[in-house]
Amino acid sequence: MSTIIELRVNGAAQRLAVDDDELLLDVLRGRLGCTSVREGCGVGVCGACTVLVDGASMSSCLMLAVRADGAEITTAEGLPADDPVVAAFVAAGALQCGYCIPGFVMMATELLAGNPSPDADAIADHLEGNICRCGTYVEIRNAIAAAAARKANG
Amino acid sequence: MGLGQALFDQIVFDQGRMLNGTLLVCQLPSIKDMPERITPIIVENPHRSGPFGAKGVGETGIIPLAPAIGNAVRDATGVRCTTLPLTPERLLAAMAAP
Repeated sequence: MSTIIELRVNGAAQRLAVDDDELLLDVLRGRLGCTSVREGCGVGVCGACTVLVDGASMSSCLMLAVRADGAEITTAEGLPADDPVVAAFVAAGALQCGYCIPGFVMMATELLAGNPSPDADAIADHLEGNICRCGTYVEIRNAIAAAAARKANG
Repeated sequence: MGLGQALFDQIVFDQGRMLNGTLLVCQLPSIKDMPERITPIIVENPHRSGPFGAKGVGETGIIPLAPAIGNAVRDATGVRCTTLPLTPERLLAAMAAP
């Protein structure tokens, strides 16, 4: 069975017929072209598919698309070109293969929205659920601290 | 970067069947398992058969991590553990062994 849902993805209104068992991940990636949303584990433990749903982080591999009806979804594609978090990740070289990075960027965006100057423990606590198999955690931590500093300085 | 190999990565089989085939039950290092800082020291040592002595510089650094951590564990506990990963369970068993 399919259902019509209306949602906003990165600021653009979308109206879609989705199957009842269709995942938000597959709708975003396959039908709306948001390829920054990646499936890693498919069971909600790696964080690669993280998107913001009404500002709160969500593993899109665990969320049915029908449940996103009326929601405002933000993916890495929806961040502004001069986004301080993205710029800090680039400047710090905070990636190796890059598969997990959009998930880290969305988690960092959520963290800084709620806590503009997180200390090292707050950063680690918030990102504990995201896995980077290349092990670039040190650079990721530095990038988020730099993004916080950049935001604080305007 | 070798930490996972030394401390976490293990595939568990039972009668030919993999028991921990998802990331739910196959633990990888998280941001909390990384040291504050990593300082790479590159020792230049030309490779005999590489063009102009060239050799890999990325994954090569993974190789000494497990022995280094194994040495640290022996220094701390007196137990020489020769099976990876060095899990708490494995280490406890090795320390309890006569």
